[in-house]
Amino acid sequence: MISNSVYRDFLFIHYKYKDFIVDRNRFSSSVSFNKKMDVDIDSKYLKDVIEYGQEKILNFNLDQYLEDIFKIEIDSLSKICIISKIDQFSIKTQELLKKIFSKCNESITRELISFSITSKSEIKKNSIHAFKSLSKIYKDQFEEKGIQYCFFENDRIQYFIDIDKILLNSIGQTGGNDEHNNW
Amino acid sequence: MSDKTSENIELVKFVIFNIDQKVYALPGNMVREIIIGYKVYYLPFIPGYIRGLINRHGEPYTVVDIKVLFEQERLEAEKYIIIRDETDKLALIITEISKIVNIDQKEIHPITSHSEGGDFFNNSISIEGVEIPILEIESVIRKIKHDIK
Repeated sequence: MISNSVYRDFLFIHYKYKDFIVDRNRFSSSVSFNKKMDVDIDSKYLKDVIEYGQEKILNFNLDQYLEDIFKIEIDSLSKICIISKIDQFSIKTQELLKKIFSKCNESITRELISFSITSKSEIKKNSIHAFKSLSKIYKDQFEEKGIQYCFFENDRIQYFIDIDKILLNSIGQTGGNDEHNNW
Repeated sequence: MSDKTSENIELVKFVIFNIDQKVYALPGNMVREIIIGYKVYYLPFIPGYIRGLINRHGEPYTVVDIKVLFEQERLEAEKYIIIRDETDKLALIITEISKIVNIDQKEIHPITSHSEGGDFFNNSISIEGVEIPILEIESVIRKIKHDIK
């Protein structure tokens, strides 16, 4: 949930026909995508380890997830990564990640995780009042899946997403096998 | 939405609309407005009878295609009935508004035999000898709640 302050910093991730918005407080820094190695985890979205200074960080391929679920068209090969501190996530997500880290043989940091996205991204201030709730008929279910609000601008739709919930739902309860229900 | 006349007839307003050749009715108090030609935006995690979202004054309205619900066929049309409830934010894609009528409350009949889409109709009205089923929006909402988990 976003706090009460009206104007906040948000990350806007731009794709061909739609955009995604992430609360700036969900990540601590960003770097260009610099793949260090592959990782052997049974998840379509957790295949890479990136280099971040002296650290090696497990990367969640958010681009790929959004392509699969929201049918986005990725029109840029250039990628960046946003880096999140794991202790900022929900207890459930932290436990899931601990389970995944315990299966990794590679020496990756246990404190951070990265999300790779298109480099067509920017941080902008936005009013939280601009975000509109989805129908109350399914709002709660969508929040659990990581889709919190939406916003229309210049004939484009922008989805406000929660990367904590997306991580939890896409990797699923099995700690690796991707699970998402997309009719 | 009903009016009492001097002869104690209680009139209820209905919006009569077409989904291709089929005719349905909605109580007038359920209908906010009719809009035309809106772009439908993609939404994941939804069943096939939900088309996506339209932007109505900045609010995301969920578009329901009841032809898919009843006949498993997509409706090619670009008119929408906006349902009045502002938190449900529902819109029905329709072919055409046929007419708006005032019907004597006594002329609303329970439907006894259910056919295609029967779960969504409890009552009907008779206009010029034609029985028109009244769409129960609450049943559509229950169906969406059931299908989106």
